[in-house]
Amino acid sequence: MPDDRVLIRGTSEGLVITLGAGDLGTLLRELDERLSSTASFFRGGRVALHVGPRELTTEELEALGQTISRNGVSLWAVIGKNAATQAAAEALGLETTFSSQATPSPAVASPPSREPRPGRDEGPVLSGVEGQLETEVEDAALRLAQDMDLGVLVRRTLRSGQVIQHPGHVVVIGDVNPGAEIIAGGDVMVWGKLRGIVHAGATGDDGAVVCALSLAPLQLRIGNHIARAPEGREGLPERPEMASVQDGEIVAEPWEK
Amino acid sequence: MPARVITITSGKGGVGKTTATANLGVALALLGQRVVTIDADIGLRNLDVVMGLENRIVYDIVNVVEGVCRLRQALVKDKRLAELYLLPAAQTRDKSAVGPEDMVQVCEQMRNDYDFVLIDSPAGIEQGFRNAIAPADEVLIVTTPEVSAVRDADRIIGLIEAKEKGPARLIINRIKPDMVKRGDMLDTSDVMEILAIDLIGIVPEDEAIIISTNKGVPVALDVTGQAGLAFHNIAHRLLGEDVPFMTIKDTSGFLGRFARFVRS
Amino acid sequence: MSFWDKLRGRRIPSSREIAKERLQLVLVHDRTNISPGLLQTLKDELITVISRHIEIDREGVEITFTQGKRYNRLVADIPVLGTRRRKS
Repeated sequence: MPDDRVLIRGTSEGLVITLGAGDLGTLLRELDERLSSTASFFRGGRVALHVGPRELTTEELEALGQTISRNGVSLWAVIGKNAATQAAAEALGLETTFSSQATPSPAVASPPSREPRPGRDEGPVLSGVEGQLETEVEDAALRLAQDMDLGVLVRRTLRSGQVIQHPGHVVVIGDVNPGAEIIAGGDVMVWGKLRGIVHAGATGDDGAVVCALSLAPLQLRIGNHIARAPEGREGLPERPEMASVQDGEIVAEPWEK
Repeated sequence: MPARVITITSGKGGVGKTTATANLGVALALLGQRVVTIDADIGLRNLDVVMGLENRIVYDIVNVVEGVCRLRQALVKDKRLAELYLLPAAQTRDKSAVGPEDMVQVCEQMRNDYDFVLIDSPAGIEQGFRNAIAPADEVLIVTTPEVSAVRDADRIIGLIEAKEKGPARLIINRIKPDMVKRGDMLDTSDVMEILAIDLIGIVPEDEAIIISTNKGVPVALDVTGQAGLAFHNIAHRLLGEDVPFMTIKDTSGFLGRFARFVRS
Repeated sequence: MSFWDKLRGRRIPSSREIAKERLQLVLVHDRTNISPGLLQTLKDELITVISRHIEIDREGVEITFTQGKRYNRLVADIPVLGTRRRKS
């Protein structure tokens, strides 16, 4: 992974932006461009900034904060190894560690194991999996989800062998690893890397959509259509994308409004 | 539905049978299939180390055949995946420890509990190969686009047809598109013309495979690399699925170019 | 167009073309268990037997083995000089 990059991820701590090495001006422009092209996805939420060993002055931190708030997101923490950076962050009233945050309760009951899985023709099983809302990032996700009738919110990475089934919408804050599976009657939104198997609109709704910060599913179904992650892409996509059915096939496009 | 037993063989050694077996096992398991891979070599272990399971072997196939343990005890579960297991080879010098009938029996025991049994055949045409072929419902032949590999593959195809285990399907491994373009490597159509069996997949030469063997992390665990994707393509074909790729609509073409400029 | 034709056309064959040609040749032998050595022995014995009855140009004899769609063919091309009188 090259060092001169801006990385945006959903983690159990909420939304995190990692700044790589390189010229700060360049990074600021990149950050602005990334956030503005996906504004509605993040708006109203808050983000922690990982800067590693980089030294930042209060002026530089303010510039970063402004770039972030200009896009409707608020900066609440700066995590770094440099003492001067930490001091500057504290001077601006920002947090410097995650521990001051109320420890998020362990997410969600483990979804049912594969054993008693019903046949596909029976339709998705009602297996409500509910999470607890701790951070503002989840509020944002929840507000988005509520516009669509909340289904289920999962606040952790889904690992291989884990299956989430729900007749409504499913929102995941974290990754969906290859080997994990989501079956939703409604839409699916993944605030992280979607690399597993997803079926949105599983009750036969071709109008459902699948969104992810990084859309690279092993297999993706929407309603009655099926597709695989687009070929010819090296590595994971860095921009949030949305998959939907258009003209009878599944199409992925940048998620920007 | 009973398990499909598929033997992966080649004739020539070193063309990538073991890598193919490991990665097809992973790809099929990721797609929700219950898979057992069997290392059919007699005396040498390969599949375990390519899959990264070498530290967890307790029993092997000879133990099962001799009744020292039950089949379940010998199966090593790959913890990264829901349902992927390995039946390891024994490290014995006794070539008669396992025979074709033993292999058939072991596979029969697995018919109802799994969807796929993938057998990694040793190179050559001796006892190990005969053991590996005996229980096969289907055969996949791995070759590289090189003269001696294709020649040996041809010989193996003949043997398989003679045993009425055909028609086999072909995997062409380690294709280097640049060399093909320069005229320094046989291309897919050359090999197909010569061997005249159906093609099930092409796997490009990819450094990621060596790295994956170093780490014991099969490339198929990640669909985003070329080789990993190739194995997933083969897995989809084995499942008889014609799953199209998503098309990407790039409505932010200008921004995309701008971002690349900024990054450089 | 075979490798030799290409050579006559003065185009240097690529290593890929050479490989393909060699493979096709060697497989004809492998698939039918007729080694180049066997072909030579066949040729010698054919020449011996036929010369007992017909006078032939031994140097001009050509035995070729080719792969056809349904059958492989062993073709003997034998230039005849005259008939040998039988010793009575």
